[in-house]
Amino acid sequence: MHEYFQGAVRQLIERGQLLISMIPRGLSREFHRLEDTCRRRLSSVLDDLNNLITDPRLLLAANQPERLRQFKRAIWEMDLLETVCITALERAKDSDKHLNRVVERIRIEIGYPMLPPVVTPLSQSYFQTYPQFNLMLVPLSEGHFLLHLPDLYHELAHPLLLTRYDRHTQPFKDAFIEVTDHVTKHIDDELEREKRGNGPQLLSFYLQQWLKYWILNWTTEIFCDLFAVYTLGPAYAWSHLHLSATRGGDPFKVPTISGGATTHPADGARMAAILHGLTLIGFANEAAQVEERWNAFILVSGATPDPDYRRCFPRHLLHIVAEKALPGVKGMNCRVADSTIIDVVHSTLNRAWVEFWRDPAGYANWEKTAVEALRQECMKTP
Amino acid sequence: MSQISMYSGVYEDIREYAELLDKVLIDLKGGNSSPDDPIRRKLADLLKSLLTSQTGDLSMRMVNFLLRGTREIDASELARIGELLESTQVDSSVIEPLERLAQSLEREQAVAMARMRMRG
Repeated sequence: MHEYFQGAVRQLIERGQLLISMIPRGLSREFHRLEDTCRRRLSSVLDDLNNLITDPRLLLAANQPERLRQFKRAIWEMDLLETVCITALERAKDSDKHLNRVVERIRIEIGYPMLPPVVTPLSQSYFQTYPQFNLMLVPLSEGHFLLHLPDLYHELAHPLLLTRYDRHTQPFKDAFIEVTDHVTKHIDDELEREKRGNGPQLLSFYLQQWLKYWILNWTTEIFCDLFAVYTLGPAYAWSHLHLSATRGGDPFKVPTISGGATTHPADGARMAAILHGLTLIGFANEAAQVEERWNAFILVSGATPDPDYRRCFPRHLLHIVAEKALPGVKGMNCRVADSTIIDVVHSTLNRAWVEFWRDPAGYANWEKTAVEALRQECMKTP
Repeated sequence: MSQISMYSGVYEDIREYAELLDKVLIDLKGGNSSPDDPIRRKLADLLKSLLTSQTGDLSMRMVNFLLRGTREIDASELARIGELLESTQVDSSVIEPLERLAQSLEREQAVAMARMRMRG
């Protein structure tokens, strides 16, 4: 392997240096932090790569497994930097500024406890966030519309869960940990019930799988939903209905042998948590309106929850998640939505959904004017 | 909203854990490690927390959970190794399970990378 490392590592070092040289000069202010992150991480990878061919300990035969693993990690890191960060920096254009200003305005409006992520319209599939780069990808034309923009609030929550040693975000993470304890207890209780009842082994297997999904994936998604509900209010619930209707699958999907794996919790479960969250912050009437439309959508879709869904996503557990997340958001001193708020992004996004239902046929025209007004407002210094 | 957002976090968490583990392994194999080394102490703490899962650090809690679900990993064995790392009694019986843990972390990181690339 020694010859292989000598050649492959040097080639990779060349690649890293080329990537650094590809970072454009004169990037606008909102991209400076991403540029800095990118440079630092690339330099760190290059240091690691140099070590692979110069550190005498790594030349020893006994350490070749470690050397290979370190090499692979360097490649993964460089791949990620090239395909995500450098690409975002290379395509930074003036057209990105609008959504960056919207996100900056949201940060101020809600008292977001971190710097805002950079937004770039490079997404090939809906909204995406790379928390480690503080980078958010949105679809190319998203800045021209309003109905999905509530998802910006959801994406803003992802980096909060990744912070470390930050007292400002600790309440949110503590709430998350509490929820995982509740989830674990729920699944343990179900497993115990299965054991006592001599139920089929397959169910026990499902329960263990569900626990894994709950802890590693679903709690994060539902927490980000709730952050969006608590900081934006009803518009997020409408946006979730819209997303489920346009891009969602079975709203009551649960991973089983036939159903396959899912990284996202069922849309129905998310909606149940969202509606309970809305009610908790004083939007019970709005929650009822969303629920009525949601039920109509479910009826048309023909989907029905089966017993597995109810065991995997029991309503009481979804309510606990909503109840724990609320003090987590308040503990970060984020502004919780209420009906008196007149901040520009908050008002525009909530008003958009009111207009959508008031005059569905005329909404598209109203939206054009509203987007322009939002653009103008966000240009001003807050 | 995307699985990128979720797997980015897992990727970062595992990466840090995996780097720490490989550094300790290199020191152990080269005979250059002592129980007072900060990285060895950190690894010992992480391994011991595998059994209790009581770490207050959300990132480490996630990695611990991920590892406890891995077939090759015996949490109680690793917790015992965590205790041995705090002593001078380190031999091949310690290194071999740590190697398996490192391989397991590598596989999980590869999964996280693959999921991030899938987009959606």
